[in-house]
Amino acid sequence: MEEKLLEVKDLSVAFNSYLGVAEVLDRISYSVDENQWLGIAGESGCGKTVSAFSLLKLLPEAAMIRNGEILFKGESILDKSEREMRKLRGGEISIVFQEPQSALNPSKRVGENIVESLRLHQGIRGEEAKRRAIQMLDLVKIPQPRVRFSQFPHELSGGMQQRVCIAIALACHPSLLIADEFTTSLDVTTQQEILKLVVDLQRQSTMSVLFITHDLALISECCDELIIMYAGQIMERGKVDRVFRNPSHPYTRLLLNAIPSISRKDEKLNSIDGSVPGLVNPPKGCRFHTRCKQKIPGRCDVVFPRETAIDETHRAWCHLLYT
Amino acid sequence: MAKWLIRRFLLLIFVLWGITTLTFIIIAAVPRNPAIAMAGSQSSPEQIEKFNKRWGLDKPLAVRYYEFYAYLLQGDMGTSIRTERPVALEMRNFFPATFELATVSVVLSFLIGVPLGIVAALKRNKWPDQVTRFVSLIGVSTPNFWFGLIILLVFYYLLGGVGPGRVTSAAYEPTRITGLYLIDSLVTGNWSSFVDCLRHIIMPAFALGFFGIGIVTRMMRSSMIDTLSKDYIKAARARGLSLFRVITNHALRNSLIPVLTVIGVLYGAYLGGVIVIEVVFSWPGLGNFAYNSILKSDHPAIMGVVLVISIIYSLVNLVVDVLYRYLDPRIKF
Ligand SMILES: Nc1ncnc2c1ncn2[C@@H]1O[C@H](COP(=O)(O)OP(=O)(O)OP(=O)(O)O)[C@@H](O)[C@H]1O
Ligand SMILES: [Mg+2]
Repeated sequence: MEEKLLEVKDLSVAFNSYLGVAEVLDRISYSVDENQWLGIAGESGCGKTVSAFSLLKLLPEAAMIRNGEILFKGESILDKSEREMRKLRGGEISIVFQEPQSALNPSKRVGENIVESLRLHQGIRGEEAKRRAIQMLDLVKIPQPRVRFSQFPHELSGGMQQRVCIAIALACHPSLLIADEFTTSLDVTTQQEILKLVVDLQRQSTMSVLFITHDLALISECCDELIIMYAGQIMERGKVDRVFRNPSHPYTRLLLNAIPSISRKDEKLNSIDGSVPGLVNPPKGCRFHTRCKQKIPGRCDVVFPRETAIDETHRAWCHLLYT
Repeated sequence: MAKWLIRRFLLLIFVLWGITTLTFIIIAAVPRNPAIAMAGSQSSPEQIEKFNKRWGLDKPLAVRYYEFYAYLLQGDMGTSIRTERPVALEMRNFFPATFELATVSVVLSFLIGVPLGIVAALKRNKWPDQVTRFVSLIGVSTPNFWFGLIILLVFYYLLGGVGPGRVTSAAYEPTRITGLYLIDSLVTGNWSSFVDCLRHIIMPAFALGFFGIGIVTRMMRSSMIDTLSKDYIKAARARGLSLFRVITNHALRNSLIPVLTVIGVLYGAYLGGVIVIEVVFSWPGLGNFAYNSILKSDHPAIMGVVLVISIIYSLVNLVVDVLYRYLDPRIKF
């Protein structure tokens, strides 16, 4: 089997909050292959962003990694020093945020951010750095890159700002790009343009993408595999087409039903009843049992189900799948 | 920008007119005759009449009000009743000392307040934060004259520091160019004079500026905490920058912008609070001059002091506004 780019094993993360200890990630495991798009989907607050930031070891002070292992190119991230992590951040693993207007320093010319990264990771400075930065802006299809280089974020549209953020993230040719809901704040057309841009750029290089979103439709457009998360636990994972064709977890089925589709537009919009449980003293067993219509009392609310293989890569964690 | 400056300038003139009018009314309303203050309560009615005639105090208020502006427009601020010298000349003599003192206080407030604020923000709710909170609370709530007296007691009498005034003796006075001794001595390369001036100014500046240290620390702390929670800070960290680089390259400038506006407020507070500090430290500045003028009901001198302080205060605020707009690219003129 080929070497995995990233492997997360049994990762648990908890937050100290004034309400108590919130168990935000509960023993999640996944892996990313080279050149792969992996989608992570789930409702707001299920821990997608936290799992992304754990990869960079940039969690807030209140967070603690309770358990687990993260291997990047075979090396343990949790054992790395801050100094080694700084090389990784922006050099090997980059991240693009949800809101480009707040992810760019308002008092810095946009190009300077790229120059800063180039200097930090590749030791390129001066005119050469500027030339490379303008090249990057051109690469993400920003018209008049020379002019844009010395503009301030507020002089660019949201779509342009996100292109700049992508240019910054890709400046040092990372092997993993984390895209944390990076199209959510844009209008639908721009969303498609930006997504297409990243798909193209990914094809031209050797880079994997961890695409975090709550929009399953977007995942179906670009991802090879996906993970369905609920309240800090992984419910199901597998190749996108397999999971879509044969959703095996009740939560996945609900999510898929909730996608509004044009053909069914006169039906009422499906939504999932109930809400995500609090993560301080979370429900025991499978955390989804409080909203699951097929819950088996005495089992679902007692232990977390074991892994069930649906096919070679398709896995689900649900008591209904075995007896 | 030019249009904006012109508008600000017209506003400035309007403000100055308002302030001088108000001062004029207050002086007129206080039932105290400079003749009594100057010549003594034993003076005969003839003497008082002669005094009033000499200083134009016998004229109706409206005429005196009109004459004040008429002369002012020609650059004449009148003559001090107490010193019998032109007020404009007195201003030129005393003003630099005060401006220098207030400026050093503002600089001190920032030099101490900004780093303290940053440390407090980074160590939020830990002991460094608690300590700075306590220090700034004292700074904000201590009357500066009391603080000045304590400094005087501790450093001058107990520890045997430098004496009162701006310099030890006339020999240390630098060649007068701007009247700001620190600058003059630097420009003329008079090193021993510079050191002597610095030693003299540091304590009164600290007494005057302690209040500002508190304010700047608190403002810097909250502004820095606000900035550090921004996505672009997380983004910069995620790009591999160290915390130190993130603060110097990304957070500092953005969190300084709101704090800079306080410079204007500080100058206001310092120019107002300077009277007490100058008297306590025998500082030969406007504050001392104002104090003596008020004691003697020296009307032209009081008007002069008020006018000069208002002009400086307004100009400083104008400069701060320009600076603010320059630092924040989102604000247009
Ligand atoms: N600094 C923090 N302190 C305490 N709890 C936090 C903190 N940051 C996140 N959490 C908690 O961690 C959980 C997961 O948050 P996370 O941001 O990863 O969700 P998400 O899946 O990215 O949601 P969204 O779709 O809204 O971005 C949430 O319940 C949140 O309350
Ligand atoms: Mg998120």
